[in-house]
Amino acid sequence: MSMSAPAVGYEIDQSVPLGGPSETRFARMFRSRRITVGGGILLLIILACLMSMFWTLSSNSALSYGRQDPDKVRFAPQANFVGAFGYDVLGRSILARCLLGGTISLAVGVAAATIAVVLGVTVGLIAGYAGGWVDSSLMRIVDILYGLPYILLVILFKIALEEPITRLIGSMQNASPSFSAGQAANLIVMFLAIGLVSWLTMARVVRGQVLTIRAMPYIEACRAMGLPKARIFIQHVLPNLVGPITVYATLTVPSAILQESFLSFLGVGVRPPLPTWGSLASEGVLALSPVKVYWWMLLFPCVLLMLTLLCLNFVGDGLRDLFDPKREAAKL
Amino acid sequence: MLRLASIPIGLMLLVLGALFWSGSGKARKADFTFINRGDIITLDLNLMSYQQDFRLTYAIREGLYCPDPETYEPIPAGAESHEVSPDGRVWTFHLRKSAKWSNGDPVTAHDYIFSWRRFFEEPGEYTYLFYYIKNAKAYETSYTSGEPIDIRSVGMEAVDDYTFRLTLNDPVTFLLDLVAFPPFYPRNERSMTAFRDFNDKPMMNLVGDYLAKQQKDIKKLTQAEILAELPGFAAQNTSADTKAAVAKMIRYGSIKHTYLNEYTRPPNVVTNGPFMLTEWEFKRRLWLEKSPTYWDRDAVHVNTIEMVVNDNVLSQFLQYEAGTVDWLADITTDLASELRARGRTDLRASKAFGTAFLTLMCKPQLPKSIFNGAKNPLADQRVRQALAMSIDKKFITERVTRMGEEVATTYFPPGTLPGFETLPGLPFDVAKAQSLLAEAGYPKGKGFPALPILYNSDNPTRARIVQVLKEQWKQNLGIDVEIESQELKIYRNRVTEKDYAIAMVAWYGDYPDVSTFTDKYLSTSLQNDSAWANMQFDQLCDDATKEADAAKRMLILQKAEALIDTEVPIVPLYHYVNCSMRRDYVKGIKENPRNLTVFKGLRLDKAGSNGAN
Amino acid sequence: MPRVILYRLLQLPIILAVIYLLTFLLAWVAPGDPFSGERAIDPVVLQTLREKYNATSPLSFLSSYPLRIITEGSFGPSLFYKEWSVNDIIKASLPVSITLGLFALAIAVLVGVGVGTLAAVYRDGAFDWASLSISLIGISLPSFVTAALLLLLSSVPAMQGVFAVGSWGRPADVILPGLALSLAPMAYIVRLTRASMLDVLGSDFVRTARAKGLSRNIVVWKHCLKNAFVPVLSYLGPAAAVTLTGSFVVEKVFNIPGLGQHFVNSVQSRDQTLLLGVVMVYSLFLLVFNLLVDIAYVLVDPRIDISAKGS
Repeated sequence: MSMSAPAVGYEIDQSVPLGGPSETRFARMFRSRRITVGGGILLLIILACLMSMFWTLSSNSALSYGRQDPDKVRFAPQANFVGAFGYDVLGRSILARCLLGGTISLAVGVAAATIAVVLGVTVGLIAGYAGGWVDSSLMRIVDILYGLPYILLVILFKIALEEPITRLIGSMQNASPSFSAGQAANLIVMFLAIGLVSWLTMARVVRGQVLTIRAMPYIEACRAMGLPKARIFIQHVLPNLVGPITVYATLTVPSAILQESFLSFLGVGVRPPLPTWGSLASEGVLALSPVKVYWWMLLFPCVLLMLTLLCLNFVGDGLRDLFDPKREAAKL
Repeated sequence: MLRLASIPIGLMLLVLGALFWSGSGKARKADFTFINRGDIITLDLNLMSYQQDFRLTYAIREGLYCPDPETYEPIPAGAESHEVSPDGRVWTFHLRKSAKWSNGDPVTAHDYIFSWRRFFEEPGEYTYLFYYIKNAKAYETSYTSGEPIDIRSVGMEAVDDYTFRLTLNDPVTFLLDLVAFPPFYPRNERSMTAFRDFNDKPMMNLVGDYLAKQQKDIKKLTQAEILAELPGFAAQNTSADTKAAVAKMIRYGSIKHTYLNEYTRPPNVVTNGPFMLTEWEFKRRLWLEKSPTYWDRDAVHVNTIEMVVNDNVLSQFLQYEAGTVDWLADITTDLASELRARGRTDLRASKAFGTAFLTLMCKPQLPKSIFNGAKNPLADQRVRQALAMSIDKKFITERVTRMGEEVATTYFPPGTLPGFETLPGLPFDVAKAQSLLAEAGYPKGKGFPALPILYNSDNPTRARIVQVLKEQWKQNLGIDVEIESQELKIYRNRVTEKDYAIAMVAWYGDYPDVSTFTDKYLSTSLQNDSAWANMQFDQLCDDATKEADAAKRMLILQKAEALIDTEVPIVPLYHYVNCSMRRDYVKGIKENPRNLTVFKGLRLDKAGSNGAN
Repeated sequence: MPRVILYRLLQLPIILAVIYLLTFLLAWVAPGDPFSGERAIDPVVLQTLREKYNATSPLSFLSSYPLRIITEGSFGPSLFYKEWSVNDIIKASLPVSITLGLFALAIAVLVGVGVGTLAAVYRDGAFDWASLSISLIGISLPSFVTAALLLLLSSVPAMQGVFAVGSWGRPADVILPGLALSLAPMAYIVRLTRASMLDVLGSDFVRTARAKGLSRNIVVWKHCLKNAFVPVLSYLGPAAAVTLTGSFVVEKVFNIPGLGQHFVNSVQSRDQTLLLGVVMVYSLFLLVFNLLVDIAYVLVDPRIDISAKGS
């Protein structure tokens, strides 16, 4: 990896050095610096958020105001653990809110990405396999949905779905001390609204991949050999789909988290007092003014957010390098 | 590579060049620049309801009376003088003959009647204020149904061009304050005819053709003039239906029509105030110039005013700091409290004519969406009183809002109306609150349902306050409330449709009288979000309406207002403080509770250029 | 190919009509209406307003406004800004957004392609990581944070004369918002360029060219870039449509009177006519730009056959 002058054209077209003929893809993953470093930091952050959930949810440090010493309002970071990131307007520990916010942001990201994946893969598979008018009408629908500005869609989905879902959950009588029907419904609507807007690219990619694979000679050979369709699908088509799906799923998570932060900025995000990195960043931006800059309210959530999203993007890119060394499916 | 890069670089230079070329023509600075409370929503008198719209209207229009620049009491403006009959029901206004519209037309009594009539024929938010006028409500209702009563039976009459007589149902002691309020301002019909939109277009097109044959343009005639031509039109070869329709219109003296709102935009808008609206660039700025036809133009000291539209809090403040803006009419309490802590002298704060309070649902059953319409604990007065007495409001004003607001125990902001005193409301008494709650059947909060407390998500101050309230009620009463934030429109819908249990709201008075607050809680009022019905209260308000003596009336209203404070259908939290940033050289704008701005009195005391004459 | 273009152009109005209907349906489902103000509105007043604006029911709306689009080319009056017609609003704000968008795209392409190519050439070196991280700010920080920070930058005393805050019209006013707006597309362009450059750098013709003795710079910037540019082009289509129609955040933070703010404002105020007008403009831009990109494909890479591109 040490080159004084990079030699263009003399490189092997793989970003990852080979480790030998029997090395599996999985093992090769660990050779990609992108994945190891990015994935490592990501894992650290996720673990920190999840492990601390017990503390952040139960005590009053992150969620509510009151037991705090009111004179701590807007204090800058202190030397102790709880005050390491400072306190916010209502005297809550920013460290605790960042950790809890991380859990919720990541949950929103992963859940929305999952919905997007499920929807996108289903539609893409159907379109790719069925072909004909089913394919073109599905793709036409995707085109039309692309034509609607997503901000609009998300807000409208959220507004339209929130009431019915709240009622649905309320009727299931499922209240616990920190979460109530309303909060749960709000989170679910969040997942749905963002997920419902993010599946379009996934559908296109899966469809493109299915079409490409089906046209390949070796699939034709399988068919000629008389292999049943199901087996062709499971043994040959699916493994080739796993790559792009993983890559795009990993890349959908950061976009979902950013969309949630935009919704928080508009005031239609996850309901307070539950924090997310996005809502913490909006609060931090609100606290910005040349008069007195409460920099800690903005810095820490943003650093965490940026780090996480960068890592997710690096891991996604690394996976993309890994699965498609020739990268022929790089077109959208 | 350079060839490829030349495209984006070329684009950038193109853009910069275009901006340079288009921007260089517009570099001019007004005598006075300010940022209003928000962007202008509408300047149509019928539809106006936001404070920033009223503020601009005070600059470009005036009514019979107007607020005095120093005292904000109504002083003669469009009218020179008035007389009141002994029973207080007939008011005669003598109009100023020197008052002219910006296009030179004289302002006559017909202009007032035309403008006020529009409120009956096309009801707007403030139409209810006109109900004091005899037969006004009857006319409005009958007009909507299609069979209007005679317009001349409504209590407004143009005795002659410069004498305007008003007949009221009951004596209204604060009528002068009412006529100083923009909905009561006159409008120039002839300037609006080009924007008239008839309801019955096919027939009016035929009328238009008929008039065109006589060299008359229907778009330039007033309604009265068209009505005069109608018999001639009907006498022509028209169908029986048409003849009947025309006869109807002549009989009722009105042709159903509306006006496209564009009449309020320059260059077509005609106004009668100290300034004219000469330019309106959407979402950018409004440009006002001193009106050369204004009767009192010698008293106007500023030549040009620019209202900059800027909705972003940070950006607004930066513009003020940079000196491009002389006055920030409204700033957020967050910023204000920071500036106050730093001792900024150009921060102006004054008590506002408004209160922040919690509205409580008083119906015996909760709305369907909350616990499926279970029994409403708030229906019990003791529960409401317990909630009210267990809030440490001082904590909220000192720690959350931090602008030194006055803690509120009453609904009406005390000291904002000379001649009216409020009686003290419920104090902060946790022990008493706990015992009341126990009396009502929820000792130490046991068995009390977790009611939702609703607020709008775009308001960060309210977000903090409800969290404090949740903690305080938990600590002091042992009850749980669930915080519910909703998007603005949904939140407003829920409150006005009474689909809530507890909600954070606010109310500002429209005109300087107690009734602007008390009318809201009449059992018949649409604005009564609590669904609170108290016959004694209704009776007191009714008595006050009929009372001719101002002092006695105030006492009756004091009793009525005290009922709200003791039965607490609403829990007052604090009275608002208007915060603005104003440079020291800006004179003539005084902070006042109703946040009125009288641009007529504006003076700039800059050394050297003060824009006088 | 002309047949394909014609086919696509004919489909345009149909797609636009469907989008119109869909948006309209979504807008009607959302609770709340444009006429309610800060207080409870009298039902009579509400009815009057609804009748005046043909908004009494979905049917009354649909029977009057779409027709006006076809006959008069007008989207009707804005239901919230009653003084202004939607056409007026679009006429006033679209040029502003386009100006800002063009500037932002120019920055994004210039910097994005440059950094992406260099990152591919110096792959996995320090430059690769550093440049990627910086350029990826666009997709790892919310836009309101970057915009707010840039705004604060303009208030620093040293900069105060240069960047007038909150105004629009002078050349200096476009630099900071343009920069803020360019960060997100820049990030995507960097990644796309890097990925496709890596592709191209491994091909045979590159090896041949280098073997022939051509300098590295000429090979990379003159020959590889043209081929590597294709995915960037396909991204630029929708990206241009989004950027040129304005971004809500940048316009709100820098107080720019563009079209982007209306995307969100019209939803929040339930202003259906403005919403539909804005969505139509956006969709038109999107469809037209996608078509232009497809045409450009053929010019850049004759091997691509757009008629087989499916959607």
